[in-house]
Amino acid sequence: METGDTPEPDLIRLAQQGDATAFEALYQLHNRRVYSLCLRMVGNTAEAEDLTQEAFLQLFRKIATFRGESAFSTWLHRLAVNVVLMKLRKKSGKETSLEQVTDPDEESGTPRRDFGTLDIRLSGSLDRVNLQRAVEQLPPGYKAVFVLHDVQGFEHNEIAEIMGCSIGNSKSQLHKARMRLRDLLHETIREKAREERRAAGSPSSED
Amino acid sequence: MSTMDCSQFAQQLDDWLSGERSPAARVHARECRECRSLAEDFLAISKTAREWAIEEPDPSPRLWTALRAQLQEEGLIRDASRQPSPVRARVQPQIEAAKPAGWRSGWFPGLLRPALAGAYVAALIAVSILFVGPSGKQIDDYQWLERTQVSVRPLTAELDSAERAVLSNVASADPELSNSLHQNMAVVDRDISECEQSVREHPENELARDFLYQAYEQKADLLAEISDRGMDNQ
Repeated sequence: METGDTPEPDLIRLAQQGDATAFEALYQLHNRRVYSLCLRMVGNTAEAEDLTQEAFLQLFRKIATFRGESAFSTWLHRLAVNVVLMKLRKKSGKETSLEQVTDPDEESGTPRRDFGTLDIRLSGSLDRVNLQRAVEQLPPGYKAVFVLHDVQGFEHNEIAEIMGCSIGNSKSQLHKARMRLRDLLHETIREKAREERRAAGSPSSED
Repeated sequence: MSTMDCSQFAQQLDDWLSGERSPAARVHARECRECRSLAEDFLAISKTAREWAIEEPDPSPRLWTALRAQLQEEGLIRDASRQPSPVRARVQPQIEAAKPAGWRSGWFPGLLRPALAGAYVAALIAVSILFVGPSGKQIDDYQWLERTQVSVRPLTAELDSAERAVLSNVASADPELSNSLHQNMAVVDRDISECEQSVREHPENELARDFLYQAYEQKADLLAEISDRGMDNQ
């Protein structure tokens, strides 16, 4: 076997026997991606590191039970998402179901007809910082699906496995997440325009 | 006249975003200002999300140290430093390749490295013997501290001597390198001193001791690298 290219199944088998080097190799293979997911979900490096550590701890505690029914990476991400969602729900002080929808317009999946929406274009005015801020305001379930799909690049069938939901559910959660982001980003742009008008000293038509 | 209504268009938005656009969806987007605006906004969001994905930061290298300590404490893994694993040599290159840039590249290759590596390994062996000791023996905080200090003494002596040698060689040969060495050495020494303080406060804490050894290793690496660069410049 090539020394620098031990296949992942071999590493998993060795880790199941308690081999420290195999644990470390598995950690090194996946830590960046898991840490990125945690960081994008919580937006704080110290917290993201704690969550990454907790996800890997859970992984290694359960590794003896891994039988390869799903991809190892999917299994690890499932643990990581659960760890992050638990943390976010504890923070918000309430249990939030992935199915929870608070906005009837989002339920229908059709575009809103808010006043002024059509005059605002995200294209050309949206940057990563604004998007990051808006993502921080999403409910945990929406945030997880959006980050997994649009940022981390998972497919809906993988997200369904990670989140323990159907593919259709993953698609509908993503749509609702994008709708919510759109609203938040439009509001950011409106607020910026109001501030600019105030700074210029002209009265605002929306105030 | 559009053959698709807004809710049907919304259901096909995912396909629209990935470039699969049916003729009916195209007609609807042309005729419906709201849906066209929605599709454009979703495209902008997806595009910016992909830009965000390019940044994949590394977690702190200390995360693995903390994780390993926890796994050892729970008895989930064998301690590689005390019981060398037969697979270590087999998978080590893979681990090193996966480690982020800036992580230690190896144990002290180069001119000074044999001596420093010898002292480092001696310290680790001393730690193994002193800490593992006769089985079942209780060790109090004072003993932990004393044993840690005894175990690192040869290493710190070797580091001091290497530092003096490198500083004197570099100062005369390359003032710019000397300046960089002083700045980096100050950072490393501050790290060592913080780790030493942690060990003094919590001598029984394995993680604190681990950090201290890492800090020494960092200093040895720095000295070796500066020495290598000095040799290259000659």
